Amino acid sequence: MTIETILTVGWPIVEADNAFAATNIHAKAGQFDDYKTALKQIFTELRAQLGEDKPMHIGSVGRLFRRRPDQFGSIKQFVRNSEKIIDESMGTVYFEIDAFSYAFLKGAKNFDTILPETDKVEGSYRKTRKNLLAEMSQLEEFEREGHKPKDKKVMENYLSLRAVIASDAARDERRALATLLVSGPSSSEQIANDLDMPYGLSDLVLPLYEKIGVTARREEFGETIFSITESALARVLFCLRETIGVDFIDILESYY
Amino acid sequence: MDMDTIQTTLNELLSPPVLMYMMLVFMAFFLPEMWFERNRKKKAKRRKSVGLPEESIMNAAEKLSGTRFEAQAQSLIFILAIFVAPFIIAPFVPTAGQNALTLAFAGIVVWSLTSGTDVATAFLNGLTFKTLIVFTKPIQVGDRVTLNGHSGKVLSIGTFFVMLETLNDDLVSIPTSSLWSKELVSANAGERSSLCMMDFYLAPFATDADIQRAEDIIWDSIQASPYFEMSKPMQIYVNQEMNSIHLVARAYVASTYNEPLFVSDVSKAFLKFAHEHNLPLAASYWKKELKN
Repeated sequence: MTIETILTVGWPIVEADNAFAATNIHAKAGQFDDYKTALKQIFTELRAQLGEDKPMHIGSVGRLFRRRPDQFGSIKQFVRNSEKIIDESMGTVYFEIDAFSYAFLKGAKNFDTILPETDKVEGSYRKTRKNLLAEMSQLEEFEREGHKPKDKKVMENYLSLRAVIASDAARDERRALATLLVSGPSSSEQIANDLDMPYGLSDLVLPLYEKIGVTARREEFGETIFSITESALARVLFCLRETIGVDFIDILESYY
Repeated sequence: MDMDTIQTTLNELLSPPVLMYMMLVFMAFFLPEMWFERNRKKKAKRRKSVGLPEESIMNAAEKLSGTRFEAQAQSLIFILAIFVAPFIIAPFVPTAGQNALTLAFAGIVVWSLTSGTDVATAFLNGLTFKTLIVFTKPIQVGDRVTLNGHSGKVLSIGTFFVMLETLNDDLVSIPTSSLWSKELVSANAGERSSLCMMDFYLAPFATDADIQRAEDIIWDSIQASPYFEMSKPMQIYVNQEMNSIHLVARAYVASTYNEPLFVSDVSKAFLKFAHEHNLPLAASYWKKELKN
């Protein structure tokens, strides 16, 4: 049996005691010399805990990597070993992963061959996809022709992000936004390390995005982290497509 | 030909149907351009009123569709005015006037294609070139191109000039009519992304393990860059050269304008890794050799 993937949007907080969070499972298995055997043991225990009939949902898989050199090891180890040990006896297993992390893993790492998207469960990405596309289309019409979107708030929110990102000098602002989209919730220090930019600069950029409603801050494991808000997704995707050139939705929909 | 015949022909050429035809051709030259200019101004005004600056962030897509439509409309009106209008006017013209109309038609075609003024020739050549590239697409607005020895981004393809913006922000105007006989080099051929080749050099004594580590870090650095186009393939080749081991990375940058930033991201990550992990670079090898 193959593992199937449910695409999500938004980044739930990973609780330290959540036994079904991929980060916790990986950390637990990593404490043993034989990662694969330990992983199998953990999955078997989770299955027993859940009962035979219920599908198993493994959350926050996207939190196992960051988009920077030498940060792909954990997700590779977790997914490759999971693929080997999850068989019929494990029942149905779904990996939940943020849609835009998945777009990266699909486009750059071909993970869609190991983790195909399921058609049995409609994840939060599939539910919001239509609205995302509709808002992006309104923004395109607004940017191209100057026709106002129906919702005035959409226009105002877009203009506030555009003011930050449109300038050719906004290189770090664009890179930080693209990193937040793919790597998920990040501290200022993580963004600085990922992009090899001065720490102080990421400290300025992230609160700036927070001020215009693009990111929201929260505390996780005693650290302040920022993530892109669901309400800002359409404008972020549109702005990244038009500035950096990456069309994440197109990657998600494409077959190679 | 006697004086009477010349006088009669001149009179017929000045007859209302022929003048109407000439007027139509004249209007076909100038009205579409004026109309599009008016629309551009209107759009700029509308954008300004909703708080959008003059420059759109949708450079390639927006300007490309606009140019394509304008070129198609201009060429259609041009063809209709010169070639179709005489056939519509002819039935309403007496037989004697039809000769003058034929003469005017032939005259306009011959004059405009062979011995018109420089402006008219440039206009027609430019318009024809502009129409041709709409269909054959050797270059498009937004492309990164090399034309007449100038490299840059195509800002507009006008009837008279193709405007390029070079890397150091110079604006270069290249006569459109001059492009007929030149090679047109486009890095991205209308696509948003373009291929980017990056070179890395290891010292000639680099081991298999060094080469493998270098390949891995180049691979990861490319994929980690926000500018990387994920939907296109990437490859790394290794060449043995006289004084170095040469690694060539072949990857696509998502937006062709970001190529320098993409190369900078990857090079920076590679050099950082090389420094931290003592990867022998070709340059450091030669520095060491020189010291000895």
